[in-house]
Amino acid sequence: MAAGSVPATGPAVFTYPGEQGILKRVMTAPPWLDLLDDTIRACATHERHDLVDRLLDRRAGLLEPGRRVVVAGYPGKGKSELVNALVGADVCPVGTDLTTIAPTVVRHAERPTPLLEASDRSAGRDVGLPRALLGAGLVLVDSPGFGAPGCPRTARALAVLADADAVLVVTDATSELSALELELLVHVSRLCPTVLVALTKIDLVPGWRRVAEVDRGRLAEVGVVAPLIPVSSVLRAAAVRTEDAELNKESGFADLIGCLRRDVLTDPARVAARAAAATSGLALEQLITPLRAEFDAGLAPTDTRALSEWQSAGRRVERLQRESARWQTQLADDVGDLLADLDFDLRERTRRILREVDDYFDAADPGTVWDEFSDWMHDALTAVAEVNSGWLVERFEWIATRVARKALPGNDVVPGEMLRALGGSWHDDLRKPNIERFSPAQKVFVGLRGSYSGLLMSGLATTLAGLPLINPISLGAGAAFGARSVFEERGARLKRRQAVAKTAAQRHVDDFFLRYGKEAKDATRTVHRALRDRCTEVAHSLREAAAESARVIKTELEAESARNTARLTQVRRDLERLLALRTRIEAAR
Amino acid sequence: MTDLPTITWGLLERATREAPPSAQVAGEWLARLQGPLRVGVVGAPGVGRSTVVRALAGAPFEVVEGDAAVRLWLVRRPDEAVVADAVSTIVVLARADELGGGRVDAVAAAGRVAARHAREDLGERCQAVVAVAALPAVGGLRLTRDDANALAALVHEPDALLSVDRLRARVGAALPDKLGMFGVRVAVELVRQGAAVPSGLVHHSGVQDLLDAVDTHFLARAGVLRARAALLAITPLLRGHPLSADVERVLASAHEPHELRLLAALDAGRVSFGHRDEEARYLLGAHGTSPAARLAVSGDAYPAHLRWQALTESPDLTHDEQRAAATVARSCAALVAVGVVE
Repeated sequence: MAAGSVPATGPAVFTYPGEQGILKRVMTAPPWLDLLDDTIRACATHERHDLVDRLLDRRAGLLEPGRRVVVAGYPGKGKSELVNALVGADVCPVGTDLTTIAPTVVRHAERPTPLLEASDRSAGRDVGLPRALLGAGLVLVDSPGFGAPGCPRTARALAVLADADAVLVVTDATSELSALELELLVHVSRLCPTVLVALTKIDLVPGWRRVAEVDRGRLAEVGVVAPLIPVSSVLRAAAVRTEDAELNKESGFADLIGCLRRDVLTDPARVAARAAAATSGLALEQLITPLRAEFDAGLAPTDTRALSEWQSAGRRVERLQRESARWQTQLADDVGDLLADLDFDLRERTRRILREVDDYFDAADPGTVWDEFSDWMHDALTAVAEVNSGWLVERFEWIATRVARKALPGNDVVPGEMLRALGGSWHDDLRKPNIERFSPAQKVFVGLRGSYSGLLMSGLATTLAGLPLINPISLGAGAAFGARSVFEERGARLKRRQAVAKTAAQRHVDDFFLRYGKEAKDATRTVHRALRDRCTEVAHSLREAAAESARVIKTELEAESARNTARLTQVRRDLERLLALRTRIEAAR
Repeated sequence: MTDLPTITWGLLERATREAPPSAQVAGEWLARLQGPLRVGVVGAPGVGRSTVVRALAGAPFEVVEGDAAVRLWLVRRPDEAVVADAVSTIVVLARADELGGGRVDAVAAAGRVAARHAREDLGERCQAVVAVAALPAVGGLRLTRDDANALAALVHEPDALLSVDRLRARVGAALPDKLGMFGVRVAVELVRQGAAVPSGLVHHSGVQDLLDAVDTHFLARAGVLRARAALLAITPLLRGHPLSADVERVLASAHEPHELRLLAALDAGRVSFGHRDEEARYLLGAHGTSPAARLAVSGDAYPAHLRWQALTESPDLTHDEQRAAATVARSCAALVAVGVVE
């Protein structure tokens, strides 16, 4: 035995006189066992417990003394008949239609177990027979025929194949190997490298030699290394019955048994080693494939999404900084414009009033209409102040919106909110249809209004008080100087009174212009500062947040990259280990 | 009742006039409606199509290799998938001798397998399953005197029949090539019994069973099958044409195919009404499709209709049987409408 010649490296070798050979074979750890165990350990490391279980089963099977030869193929090819002919007994049910449903295991026994009854076809059977071939360590397994992919029959057939040490694929001479059969052969030879092909029914088909040649060619084409042995189970059965050696030779079973002895029994350890290597190789492949995929994926640039997030965060910080400078300039410009326009508007309106005053007092006598005039003036200036300040407020709203859009781009801070923060109840007052139209920045403008209305209250009444020109008494006195002179006098006096009234009105309006203008400008500046500070504050916090998120993303990216590198290193190490194991397995084949 | 062939005749004529794309095909089918039934022999390469065609030579129908109005679908094994139009297909276990290992009783055994599959899934997809070993039937008709002598000599040499190699060594290649192992074994057995070899071979080859099946399932209702095949053939050509709706309606509502399917189911034993089976066969037209022939057992059509209608709701029947009874009841209803009673 070849295994016996391998120096015992592992466990102690128990030797008893006379039984040395067998015991050595059983007790010495064969070299493939290490490989299989290493593979099992690798599978356990990678948490493929399904593979571990399968390999452990396989390991137990391979350590058993007999070598299992599974007879496999598509239905109706004569698998069961071949097994029966091989052992010279009807151990497997044979029929015209699909007959074999469960596997039959035929092994050596000193006394034959009772042969089959027709009823127990469905259950798997173990049959013992006293046969030299079986006694030499051969276990025959008759398997159900393959069916359509995925059907239960196919699954059962594959399950039987999983435990095969060698496979005897059965095809028949009535047709050449079909594509399906070749597919099965390729699959089988990957699962279990020791493969034999039996071409049955050669007693029936005149052209079986040609079929055999074609089949051998097809086997070579698909790269399956397996001897093809033409056999006739019918002739073999007849030969066994009549003990006709010539017939036995014609049946081809002598060749088949020769092949089985040569390929399986001469060197069972090698058969086991090849089976173990194939099984380990398939299991390793299942470990290597995902790892390799992971490794290949790892070589690609890391998480591109996170990277682009980080870049966009950086861009956002930059843009916020740029915007900040821009909107401050813009705010200053806008407010400068506003002040100029405000000034011009006020000047324009007051001048129009003064023109009207001039026109008015060209004709009217201030002495008689002064009270009326005083009221008119009050109303006119109030209107100017209201229109002007309302306009001021509107402009500010517009500026604030514009600046907010610039300073807080795409931001959740609504400009109205900011103005509300500045001026208090924004919306309510905006909608209130009363004279207090300058509500938005109300708090700021309240003082303004107070100041000008105060001015208007006390304005003209006192300005003209005590002026002798408008003294009605003097009018009365003038009457004493004769009608003409009086009239002349009255004409000249009227002119003077009118001039005085104009001057007084002029001065009053100038006063209003100065004081209201000052208040309005002060208010504007206050609002301007408040707006600027608020926007700066918000923009600053935005910038801070953006910078912070960029920092966080950066940190995460670095951590992720570090993790990736570590994982990749780990994967590479695992892969190298598995590939080394695979090389050892390849060598063992 | 207006039967499918008559309606089809009208539709085909309209198609030749009104629908130019289908005119040629419709014309061909019109011409074919009167000739012998064309039976196509189809199957995978190497399954023995040409041998079956030769074995059927001289039958009262036209046999062609390839698809036709009705077809014989050749398979080696019953589990080879058959996807076909059930009502126009007979599945043939060709090379049935191989299925039984070339023994003398091989075709008989294969016939039992065929019958079992006809009762099961395969029967749902075809009208009948027949086992045939065509080679001996063909070869039996071409036996020479030398072959006869060789067969007579073989009676005393059973060892030569053990394998084809031994046989060739003994009698040369001609006889085994002509009859096959199974054929030679059967022929030797026939010689031993003193029976006529060629007719015995035809009998044992199952070809007669195949002819009977074609007769029962195809020839008896050739008009219906041809009409149906013609409509199916022009349907794809009429796409978008107003006539296609008519054709589809006729195909969908035709009752005759249902009758044929039910007759096949009764024959295979998938459906049974017990003692009423024979009456059902008559009503479904198995013994002639004239109203008189259909009503030969039942008597008056109306009571028969009521009886079968009642069966569709009978609690004693399974759902499938109730549906089958409905098919019979519909045949009765058509007979009531015709109103002919002898």
